[in-house]
Amino acid sequence: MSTLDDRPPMYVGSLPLPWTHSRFLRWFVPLSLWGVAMLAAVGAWGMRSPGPGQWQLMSGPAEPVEIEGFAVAEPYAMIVTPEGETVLVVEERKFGA
Amino acid sequence: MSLQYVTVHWNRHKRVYDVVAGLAVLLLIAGFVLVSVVRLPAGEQVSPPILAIRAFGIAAIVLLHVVLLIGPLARLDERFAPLLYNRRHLGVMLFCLGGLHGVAAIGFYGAFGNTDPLSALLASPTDVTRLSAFPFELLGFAALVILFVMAATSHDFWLANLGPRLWKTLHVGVHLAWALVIGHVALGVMQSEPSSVVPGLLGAGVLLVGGVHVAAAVRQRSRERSETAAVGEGGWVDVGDVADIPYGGAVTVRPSSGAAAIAVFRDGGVVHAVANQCAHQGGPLGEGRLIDGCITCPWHGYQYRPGDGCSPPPYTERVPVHEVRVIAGRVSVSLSGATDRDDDRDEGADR
Repeated sequence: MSTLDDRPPMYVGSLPLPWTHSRFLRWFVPLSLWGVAMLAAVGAWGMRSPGPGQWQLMSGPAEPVEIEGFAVAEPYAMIVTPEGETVLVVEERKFGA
Repeated sequence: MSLQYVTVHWNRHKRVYDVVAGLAVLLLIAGFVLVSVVRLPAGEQVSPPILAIRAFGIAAIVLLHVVLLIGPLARLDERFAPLLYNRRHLGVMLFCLGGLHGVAAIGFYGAFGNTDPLSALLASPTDVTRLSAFPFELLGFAALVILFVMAATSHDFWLANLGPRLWKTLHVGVHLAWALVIGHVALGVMQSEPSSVVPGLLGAGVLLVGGVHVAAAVRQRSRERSETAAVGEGGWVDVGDVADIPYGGAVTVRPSSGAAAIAVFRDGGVVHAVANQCAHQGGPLGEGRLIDGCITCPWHGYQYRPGDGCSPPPYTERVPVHEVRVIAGRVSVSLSGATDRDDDRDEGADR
C-alpha cells in the first residue's frame, strides 16, 4: 500500500516552500548563477573584435576595381553583380544618423 | 468582503523569482562585458555599440535555453516546479533582451544608409541560396516577432479569452523561435567568428535542450503505458485496489479506448475521479495532491473540489467528474458518467 508519506511535499506557489525544494534550490540557484557567469566569460573569450571597416573596392590606395553589374539606389546605393553579390557604393558623405 | 481584479497576484515567491532571474541576467551581461574588455588589447577593443549588441544577444539566447529546459526538467524532477511556476516572467524578460539586441543591431548597422533601418532590414536584396549571404537577420527578426506575441499574451487574461488549447498552441511557438534563433546565430555570428567557442556553445545548447526533452518524453511515454487500462462492460474502467491509491493523492488511468485520462483521488475513505487535464493549461491533475480538501494541479496550483470538479469560489474553472464504484476493494470509474457539474457556481474574479 502506498501512502503520501513516501512522497516529497508538492510545491504550490501560494504556500510556503517545502523543505525538499528549499534544500534543493539553496545549492541549485547559486550554482546556476555561477554557471551563467562562466558561460558569459567563455562566450566573451570566443569572440574577437570585428576590427576597423575596410573599403571593399580598393585593393590599395588609389587602385580602383572594375565591377560589372546593376546599380540599385534603394535601400543603399549598391551594385548587384551577375553572381548575386552586392557591393556598396559609398559617397564622401555620411547618410542616415 | 468584495472581489477586485488584480493584474498580477504578487507574492514572496514571485518577487524572489524575479530578483534571482534579474540578477542572473545582470551577472551574464556584466561577465560578458568585463571579460571582453579585459581580454582584448587596447587596439583591438570591441566598440561599445557592438559590445552591447553581443551582450544582449548572448543574454537572450542563454535565457531562451533556460526557458526551454525548465518544462522538461520539472517533468523529470518535481523540485524544479518552483522554476516552472513563473516561467512566463522569464519569457517577458527574454523578449525584452531580444528586443534590445535587435534594436541595437538594426539601429547601429542601419544608421549608415539613407533608408530607415527597419525598412532596410526587410527590403534588402537577399540571396537564400548561398549560406554566406543568407539573410540571417530576418531569422532573428522572425523569432523576435514570435517572442513578442508570446510575451504580449502571457497574462492569464489572454489564457482565459483565447482558451487553453489555442493559448498553449500559440506558446508552443517558442520552439519555432528557438530554431530560428539557432539559425540566426549559426548563419550570422559563426560566419564572422573564426573561434570554435561559439559553435561549441551553440551545439552544447542544442544537445542539452534536445536531450532533456527526449528524456522527459521517454519517461512520459513509459508512464502513460503503465497507466493504460482496459475498458470493461458498460464503459467501466478498472483502476485497481483502493489501497493502491495514496491518501490525499491519485493514480491516473488511460482507457485503452483512447478516451481522455482520468485522475482517481483518495480523500480519506472516499474515492473521487476527475478528468486528468487541468482547465488552466492542461496540467496532469493525477500528479497533484489534495491540499486543503481540493485537488491541486502540480503545474500552477489551480484547485478543484473533488466531489464536483469545480474550483472553490470565487474561481470559476471546472473539470469533468467521473462516476466511481468500489466493489470488494476494487475501484472502477465510468467513462460514460463524465459530467460538468455547474451548479452552485459563483462568477468571480480573475485568478
